[in-house]
Amino acid sequence: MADGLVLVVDDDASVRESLKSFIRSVGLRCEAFSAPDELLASELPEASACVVLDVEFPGRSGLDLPAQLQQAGIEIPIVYITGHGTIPMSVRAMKAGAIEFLTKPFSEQELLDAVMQALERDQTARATRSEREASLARFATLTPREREVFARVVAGRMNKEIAAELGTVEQTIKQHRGRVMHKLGVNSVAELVRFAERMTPSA
Amino acid sequence: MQTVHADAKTPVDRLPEKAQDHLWFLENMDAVHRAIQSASDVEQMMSDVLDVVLSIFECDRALLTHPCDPATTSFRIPMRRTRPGFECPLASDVEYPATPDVLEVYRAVTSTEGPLRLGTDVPLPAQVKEDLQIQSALGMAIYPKVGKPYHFVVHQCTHVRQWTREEQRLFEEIGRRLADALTTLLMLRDLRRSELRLAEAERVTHVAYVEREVATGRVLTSEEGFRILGLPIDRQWTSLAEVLSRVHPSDRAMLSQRAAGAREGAYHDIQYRIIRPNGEVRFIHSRGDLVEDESGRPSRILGIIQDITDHKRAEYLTRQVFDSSPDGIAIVGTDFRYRRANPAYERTLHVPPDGAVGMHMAEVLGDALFETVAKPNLDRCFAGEEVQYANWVEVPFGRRYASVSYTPLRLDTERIEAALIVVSDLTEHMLAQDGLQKAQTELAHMARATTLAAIGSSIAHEVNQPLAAIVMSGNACRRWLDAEPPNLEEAREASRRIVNDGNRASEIVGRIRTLLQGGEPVKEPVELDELIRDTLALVQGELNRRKITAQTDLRATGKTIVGDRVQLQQVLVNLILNGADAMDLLPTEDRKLTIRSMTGADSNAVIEVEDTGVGFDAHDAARIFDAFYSTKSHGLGMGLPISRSIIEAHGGALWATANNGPGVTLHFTLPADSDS
Repeated sequence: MADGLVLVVDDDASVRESLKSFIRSVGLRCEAFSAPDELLASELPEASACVVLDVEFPGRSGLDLPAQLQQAGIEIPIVYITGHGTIPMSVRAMKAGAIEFLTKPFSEQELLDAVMQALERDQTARATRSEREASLARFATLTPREREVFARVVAGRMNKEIAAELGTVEQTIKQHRGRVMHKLGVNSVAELVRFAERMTPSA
Repeated sequence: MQTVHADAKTPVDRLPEKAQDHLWFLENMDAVHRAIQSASDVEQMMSDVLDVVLSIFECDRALLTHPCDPATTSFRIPMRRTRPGFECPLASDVEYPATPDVLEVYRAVTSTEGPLRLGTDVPLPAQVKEDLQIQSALGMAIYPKVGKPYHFVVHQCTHVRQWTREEQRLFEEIGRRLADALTTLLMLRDLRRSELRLAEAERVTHVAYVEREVATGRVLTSEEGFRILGLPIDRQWTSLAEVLSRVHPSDRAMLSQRAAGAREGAYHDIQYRIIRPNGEVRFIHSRGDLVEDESGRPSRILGIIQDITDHKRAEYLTRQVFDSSPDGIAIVGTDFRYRRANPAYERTLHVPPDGAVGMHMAEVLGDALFETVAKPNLDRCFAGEEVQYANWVEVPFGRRYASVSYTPLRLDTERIEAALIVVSDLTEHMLAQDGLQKAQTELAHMARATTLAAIGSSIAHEVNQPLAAIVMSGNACRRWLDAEPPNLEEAREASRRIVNDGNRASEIVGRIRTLLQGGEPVKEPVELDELIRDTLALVQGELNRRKITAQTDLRATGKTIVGDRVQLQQVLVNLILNGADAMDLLPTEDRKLTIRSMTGADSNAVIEVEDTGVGFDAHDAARIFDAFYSTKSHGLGMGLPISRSIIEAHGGALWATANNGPGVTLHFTLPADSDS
C-alpha cells in the first residue's frame, strides 16, 4: 500500500495543497487537480489509486464524475469531501459507489481510514481484475468443443449426459475434459467451478 | 362826492343827505341780513351775500379768498360772484400759489382794521390786475372765530372807481357781518362733523352715550345705543322699563336694583345681558354716575353702555383654552412666583392641592432644576427673548421629558412683567418613540440575521474550506516533523499554509460578525467601492452555489459617503440576493448579476444591482417595497422595505426599474459626504 496513489480533486487551492501535503506526509503518493475534467484528461498510472473528490465545483457537481469514469472504462474508488453536505447528496454519492462521504473539516483519521479503505479496495479490485484476465487468457486457448464441454462441466453435468447432449460417446468427453483441465491449470471439478466464477466479472 | 345810488323803492331824496346815507346803509345791511338768515349752509350764505354785495356796489366781481394769511403758500377761492361778462378766470376749490405781491396784499389787509383800496392804498398785484382786468378794487380781511381769516374783495373792471367813505364803511360792516355768519355756520358744520364722528365711533366701538332722567325715567341715547339695547332705532328716547324688558330675566332684578341704587348717588359699573328680538344674547357693560341739579337733587344719570359680547366670547374661549388645554400653562412674575396656573400645569408638575398661585417656582420644580434650567431660561425671557427647549429633566417626582416655552408678557407697559409658560409632558411620547426606534433597530437586525440564515450554508462552506485545510496542514506538519529524518521544508510549507488559511477564516468570520451586529447605527465615512467588494466577498459563496456569475463595474473610485457600514452592507446583500432569487429558474449560463457604482447628479453616489431574472409586472413594481410582500416561497418579504428605509434614513432613495432586456435593476443613491 505504500506505493498507493491518491488523486485529489478540489477547486480550493488551500484545501488541495493541504491534502496533498498531508497525504504525502503519510507516505502515499499524491496528485492534485482543480477540476474533474483535469483528472479525466490525465494519464492514470497502473498502480493502486483512489480519488478524493470535492462535491462542489463552479458550474458543475463532483457527483457526475463516477458516470464519466465508467464511460471511460475507468474503475477507481472515490472518497467524497464537501463543505456543506446534505443527506440527499451523500445518499447519491454512496449509491454511486463512494467509499466515504466526509464533511469538511474532517479529522486526519477519518480521511486516512477512508483513503486506506479505498486503496485496499482498489488493490483487491486490481487483483481480481488481473486474475480474471489470466483466466480469460487460459480460457482463450480452449477449442470451441472444449468450451462447450467446460460450460457443461461447470454447470454440474455428468460425462454421460454431456456426451448425449453433444452427440458423442462418454470416452470422447472424458478426453476433452482432461484437456480443458490441463489447459486451464486446474486439478478438480471444484477448482474448475472457481475458475469459472473468477472469469465472470463481479456484478 | 358822487351821490349814492339809492334804490328806487326808497324815497331818500327828501331826507337830509346824512340821513339819506344812514338810511342807505341800513337798507343795504338789511338785505345782507336777510341773505345771511335765509341761508342754510356756508356755501349758500357766501353766495347770497356776495350777490347782494355785487348789487349794492354795482361792481363787477365779489370774491372770498382763503386763507388771508401773509404766511400762506397758497390760497383758494371758496366763493366768487360776477356780473355777466366779467367771469372770473380763476376756479373755485383750486389751490393757487400765493405770490409775493399777493402776500403783500394779505399783509396790508390783515394789518388794517377796515377795507383798503387796492391799487391806491396798496398796489394791486400786476399779474392779477392784468389777468382779471381790474381797474379798481376794495378788500378787507375778515375774521371768523373758526379757522383762518378770509379776504373779502370787490373788483371794478369797467372803470377806475373812487370808493366813497360811506361805501367803505358799508363794505366794512358787511365784512363784519360776513365774519359772524361764517363763524356760526362753520362751527355748526364742525359740530355736525363731530356728531357724525361720534356716531361713527360709537358704531365701531359698540359704545353709546346714555342719559337717564331720574324724575321721569326717560332714557336718552344715540342710534348705536338703541342698537346695543336691542331696541328700534327710529326715535330719540326710551324708558327704563322698556330697557328692563329687554334684559335677560336672570339679570333683570339685579339691574333694576342697581338702577335704584344709582339714583341714590352711587357710581355704577355693571354687566348684564340683553336678549335681542331675534333671540340673540348680547353682553352689555354699563358705567355711569349721578349728576345733581343746581339745588343738589339727583337729576340725571350720565354714562356709557358698551356691547362686550365679542370680548366676552374671546374671554370665554381664552378661559376654555386655559382650563382645558392638555398643555400646562402658567404665568410667572419676575419674582418667579406663579400668578396663574391652569389645571394641566398643576397636574403635570404635581402641584399641591392648594394650587400654584403664590408659590415660588423652585418649590414646584425643585431647587436643582430651577437653578440650572428654569431660572437661566426665564432670565433670558425677562430680557425680552422667546425661549423654547425640550429635554429630559429631573423633577422631584421623577425623570420627565418636557417641551417648555417661555414668552415675555408686557401687560400694560413696555416693561416685561411676567412670563407665559407653556409646558408639555412628552415623556410617554418619547418613551414610545424610543421603543419604536429600538424595535426598528431590532427588526433590521432580525432581517440581517434572516439574510444570514439564507446564505448561512454558503458561509459555512466558506469557513469550512480554510478550516479543513488548516486541520490537514496541521496533521501534515506534525507528520513531516515526526518523520525520520524530519522533513523541515515540507513542515515549514504546511505551517505557512496554516497561517494563511487561519487568516482567511478569520476574515470570513469577521464579515459575518459585522453583519450580525445588532447595535445602534453608527455614522462613519464609508468608502463605497470597498464596501461593494467586501459585500460581494461575503455572498460570493452563495452566488457560486447558485451558479450565478457576478460582475462589477465600479466607477465611484475613492468616493466616500457617511453612513452605517453594517446597514449599507445589509442593503447590498439584500439587493444581491433579491437578484439571485429572481434568477433561480433560469438556465445556469443566463444567470448574470451586475453591480455598478458611479457618481450621479449633485455628486451623489449611485449604486445599481442588475439581474437578468424573471422581472416584475407593473402591479409588482408598486408592491415590492411593501413589508411582507414576497413573490418567493421563502423569506420574510422584509428585504426591500428594510433596505428602502435604511437608504432613506441615509438621505438617499431606493427604486426599481425594469430592464430593456430581461430582469430588473435596483438603484439607490446616497448623498455625498459633504466633508470630503
